[in-house]
Amino acid sequence: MANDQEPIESGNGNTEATNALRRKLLKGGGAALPVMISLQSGTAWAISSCASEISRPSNGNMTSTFGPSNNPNDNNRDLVESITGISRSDIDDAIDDDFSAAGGDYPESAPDDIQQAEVMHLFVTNGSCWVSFCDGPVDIGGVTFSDSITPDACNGS
Amino acid sequence: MTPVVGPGDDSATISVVALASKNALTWNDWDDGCSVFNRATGETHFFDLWTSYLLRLIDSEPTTVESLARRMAQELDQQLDAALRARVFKTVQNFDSMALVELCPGG
Repeated sequence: MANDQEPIESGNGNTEATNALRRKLLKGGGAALPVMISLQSGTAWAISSCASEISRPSNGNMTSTFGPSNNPNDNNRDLVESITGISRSDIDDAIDDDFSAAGGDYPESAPDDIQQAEVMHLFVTNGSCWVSFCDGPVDIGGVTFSDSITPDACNGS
Repeated sequence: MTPVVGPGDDSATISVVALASKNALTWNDWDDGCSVFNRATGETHFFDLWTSYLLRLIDSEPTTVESLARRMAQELDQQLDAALRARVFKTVQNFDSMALVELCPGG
């Protein structure tokens, strides 16, 4: 997948989008194996590389999604691990990091220990929106999403 | 409506396939597929192009499994055979399990 593409938001029954899909398929764009990945709303995935920052999740984002690190039974950890291979302990490391330290730890400055050590990338579904918190391609289960995927329609929502 | 006769033939019990919640899907198209947010369930799905195209067809109008298989064959230059029918039916079942579509029983 190209890394510089922008998502095309399209409504229900969108004929143009359907035709575009058909053109891609006729050009041989179909996957050899069916890909059907479902993501729970509000779930964050720790994935891929995070070379620079756009906007980063707060500690609140992390704990609301995964729960505190001393209560690591959240199913979202399993989901992240199954999809990305990022381990539960790595997720707990991210949650444990001191998000509030000014000028210090993740996410106040870059690079930091999380970025260097864990190569974190957060991808969060948020209602109809999803936000890539880092500037770089995101890989989910072998499918690469492009940079900075925040549809305009999501801004401010 | 006449039930669809499909592979198996479990699909014979299905008459119509329709979106579970009309206008509940937000689509974003990518090179390798589509991500679909279902406001009705709060889930986001990522589908490959073929699967996305099938859901697009259902999105455009309620239809039958057989009709879906025929359209996929015709519009994508695929052979309409038992394998394609089975793939369509299985994918529709997966859509149903994700609460994306409703399968209306025939009768």
